[in-house]
Amino acid sequence: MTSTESALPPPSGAPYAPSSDALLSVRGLVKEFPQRGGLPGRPLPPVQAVSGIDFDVPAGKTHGLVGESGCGKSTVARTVLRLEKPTAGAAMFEGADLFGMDRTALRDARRNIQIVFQDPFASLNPRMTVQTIIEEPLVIHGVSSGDEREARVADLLRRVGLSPEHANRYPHQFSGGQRQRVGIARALALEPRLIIADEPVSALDVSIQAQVVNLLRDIQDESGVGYLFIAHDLAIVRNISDLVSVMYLGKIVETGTRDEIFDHASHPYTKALLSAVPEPNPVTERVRQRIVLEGDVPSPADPPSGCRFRTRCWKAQEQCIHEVPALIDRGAGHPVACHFPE
Amino acid sequence: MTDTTVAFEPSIRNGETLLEVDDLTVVFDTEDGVVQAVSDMTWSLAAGETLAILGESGSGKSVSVQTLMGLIPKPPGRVVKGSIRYRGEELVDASAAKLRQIRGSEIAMIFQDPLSALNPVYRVGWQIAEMFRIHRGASRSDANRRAVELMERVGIPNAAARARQYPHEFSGGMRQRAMIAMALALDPKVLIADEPTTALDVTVQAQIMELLQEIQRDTGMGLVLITHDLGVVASVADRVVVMYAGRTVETGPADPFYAAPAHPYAQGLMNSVPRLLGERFRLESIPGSPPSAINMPNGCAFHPRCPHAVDRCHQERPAFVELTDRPGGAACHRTGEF
Repeated sequence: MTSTESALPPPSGAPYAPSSDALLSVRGLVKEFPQRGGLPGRPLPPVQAVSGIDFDVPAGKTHGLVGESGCGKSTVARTVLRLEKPTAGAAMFEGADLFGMDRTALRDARRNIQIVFQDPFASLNPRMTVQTIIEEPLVIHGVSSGDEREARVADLLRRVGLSPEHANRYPHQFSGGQRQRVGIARALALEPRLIIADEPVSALDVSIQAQVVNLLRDIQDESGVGYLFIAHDLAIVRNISDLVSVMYLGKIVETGTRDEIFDHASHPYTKALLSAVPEPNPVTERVRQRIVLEGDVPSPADPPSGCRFRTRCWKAQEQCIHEVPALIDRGAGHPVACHFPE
Repeated sequence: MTDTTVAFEPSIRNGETLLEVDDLTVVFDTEDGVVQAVSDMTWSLAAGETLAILGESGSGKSVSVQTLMGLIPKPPGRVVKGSIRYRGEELVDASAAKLRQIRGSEIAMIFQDPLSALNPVYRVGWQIAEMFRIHRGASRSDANRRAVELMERVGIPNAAARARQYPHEFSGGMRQRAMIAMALALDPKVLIADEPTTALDVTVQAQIMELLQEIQRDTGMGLVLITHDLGVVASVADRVVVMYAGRTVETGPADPFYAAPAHPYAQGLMNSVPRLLGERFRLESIPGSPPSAINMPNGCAFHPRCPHAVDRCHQERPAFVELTDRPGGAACHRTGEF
């Protein structure tokens, strides 16, 4: 945590000014994890999980953060919530500096920022009833009395498509999709302005994924909550997001509106990612030109110099080794971090 | 309704029929009662053919192959009826020795999670070479050489160096390649892949599917792909089997199936998949959740979630019938009406 001033630093690549209606504005976010081990005097380099990223979540909108495993997208979620201590950068929530807050202020802010986790099996306490799980935020923040809480929980259960009779059951009595609904009900209990959803549907079956995605969209239409929606599944991100940022090895490589990213992708990595998503249609699948990336994602403890994607990029040239490409609009109409965008 | 006749479809390719699963019913005896894991399941696989078994968790999509590979613990598992034949030879009551001879050398299998299938304390090359040492009596150096060759063939770069590394030093995609190398070691005629790409990133998924197809083209083996992902197998499957609540609800050649699935469950599944192309619709989800295997609904197991269910669906289990307008079959009272 470096910056305690409330003024937001300019975005690192200066692609766009923080919009005044942004619910959440993140600038220059860096998170490094020190590594244990190494020799005396020669410690191991830190793991650079997130290396300077900027993004906004406008009120009532969804910003999808998409990338493959290890790209740092979940670290972004955890750092914004201050479940991890940021190494550098700033995060403004409704104009208040999240990283500069003391404990009391942070607790108040967290009333308005809730999280939904990936694994509905691990994120619910098996010894608590659904009633206790959902009302816990209400108790902690002291927002309502006992009777009110019961009514409120019944209300929340109905809102996420469960029935009030479910309140006295335990998590193991529910299916995966129902558990995720319980997790969403808990996140909604305090009527937050922002929900950070970290892979909320990736543990669920296809038919249930669609239910939960629809539920999240309905809740947003009704309540105007903003989502930071973190996922690896591009098709789901396309379905739910207004804005999309693509992450690779700790950096955002391309950002824009949903249609800009999905219809006019210009970063080679975005293009490769999009070309790899299979569609359930054998006729189009067989003729599709697929960009198959060579090799693996490099280690975030020792990322490549210059452009981090260059080791797997078919367009890489000398410049990519020496010069970090800034995330700026290069004529595509939206910011792209590539020296040779398409 | 006890009619269990199942349309037996001839394989598309004219290769030799390798595997025949016929009317297979497997149950588990549990404290809460007898659970029907899979009921009356029938499918076959020919050489050079790719069969995709599609279904969500708990649908029983893996049970038939687990049974034939001897991976079902007995008890509590029990084969109640039906047969599984490999090149005409019955596997259901086969001796342990017979099964051991067929598994690995004739039928190989790869799994979703390659990390748990590899031994963490042995070098990857050693584990692959073990196949040659144990099954083929190869010498150490010969086995090691063949292991490195195999690793090269499945696209592991610097194979000689990677052979000396441990599983944790491999990425997920490379581990799956190592598993595939191990599965191919004895030139099996059938490869069964149970959710082979589910744990992998999307760019790596594409690589692995491409590799499996390439190997199949080279060797002419039969490939069974078990998955929940309709997209991943769309371009590779010749035929599909769709499972719901332990039963086959639809089978048929892949292309017409994907163009217009006949069973309401398969239709719902297809509409649930978010797309990258075309208009961004609100997803049409299937309401409710799959039934518990202990408490199956009467009649058609899908009727509580089915938009087309009529009275008959509540009482009478639909027989599996061949479709009239195209090859394939479905278990639905109202087949062809929508």
